[in-house]
Amino acid sequence: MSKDERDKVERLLDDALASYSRQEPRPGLERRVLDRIHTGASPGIAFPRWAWAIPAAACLLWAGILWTRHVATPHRPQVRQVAVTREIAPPRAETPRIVNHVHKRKALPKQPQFPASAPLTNEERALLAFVTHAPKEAQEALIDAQQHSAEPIRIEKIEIQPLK
Amino acid sequence: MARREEAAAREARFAALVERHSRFVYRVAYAVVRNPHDSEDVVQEAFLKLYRTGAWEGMRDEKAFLARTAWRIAVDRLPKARNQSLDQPLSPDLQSDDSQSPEDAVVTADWSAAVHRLIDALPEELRQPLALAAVEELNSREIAQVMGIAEGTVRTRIMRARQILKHKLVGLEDRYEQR
Repeated sequence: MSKDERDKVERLLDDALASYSRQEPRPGLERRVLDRIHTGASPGIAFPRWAWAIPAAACLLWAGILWTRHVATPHRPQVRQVAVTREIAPPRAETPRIVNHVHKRKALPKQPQFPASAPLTNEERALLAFVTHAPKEAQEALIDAQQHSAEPIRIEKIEIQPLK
Repeated sequence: MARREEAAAREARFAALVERHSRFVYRVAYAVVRNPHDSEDVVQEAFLKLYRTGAWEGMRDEKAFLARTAWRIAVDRLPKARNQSLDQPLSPDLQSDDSQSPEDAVVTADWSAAVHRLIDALPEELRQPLALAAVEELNSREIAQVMGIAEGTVRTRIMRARQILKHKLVGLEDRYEQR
């Protein structure tokens, strides 16, 4: 390559590269930059670098609370019953066993009398009050009526007259 | 009252910073993205970032800091295909994305366009230091700071880029004379 050629190539290169430094933005760039800054940002919203630690600590705290609750909860007897049922029941080959996790209703306490005594009706209550507070004659009449009711019922012979 | 005055003074200082350096930042951005619209976006984003983080108040070397901020934003905007590394081989003709090849430009005697296309077709690792060196305000040391590489590497890459371009230009000239 001759010196002229070299100079020409250098000149071409320098001219092309100089265009990078000649680049000018549209007029009013500074104004547009400042406008965007004032409309799109405030310096107060920048978060510090340690800001991520706050949600992380909250998550850890929540996980700790959940774990503590889980540990504190006693085992329910129903769970044990289900486990026993599983062991005793013969395994089914085809269909997988579906364990019913619905909590059984708590059994009611055993009553001393069966059927359990129902509350008194209005009539029974009135009778009780009468018996408690009634005069002696009334009580005797009642006892008499009860004795009579205990006797066998006698039915008089009915005589049927033939039709004329 | 004092707090309001302080805020106003701070705003004025930032406005002065924008006034002083926005054109320089624009040229740095242009050296990377080579597009006026994207370059302006880079300038706005760079200043907005500095304002939000408050980093501009602690700057020692304003130019270097701003150039590095703008360069990072601009590089992030480059299409991935463009941002090829030196490990990848150069295409035989150093063709750029434009429809007109350097040879076509030479045929139409548009040497300037041909050189631009050759520059655009360089790998980014060679093209960026070369283009940043063309931005008058930046020397090798500052380019090294901007790109986060050694000053010697900057010089080597600029030299290598120029050698490749000269070699390609001579080849184009020879082909043009043969026609």
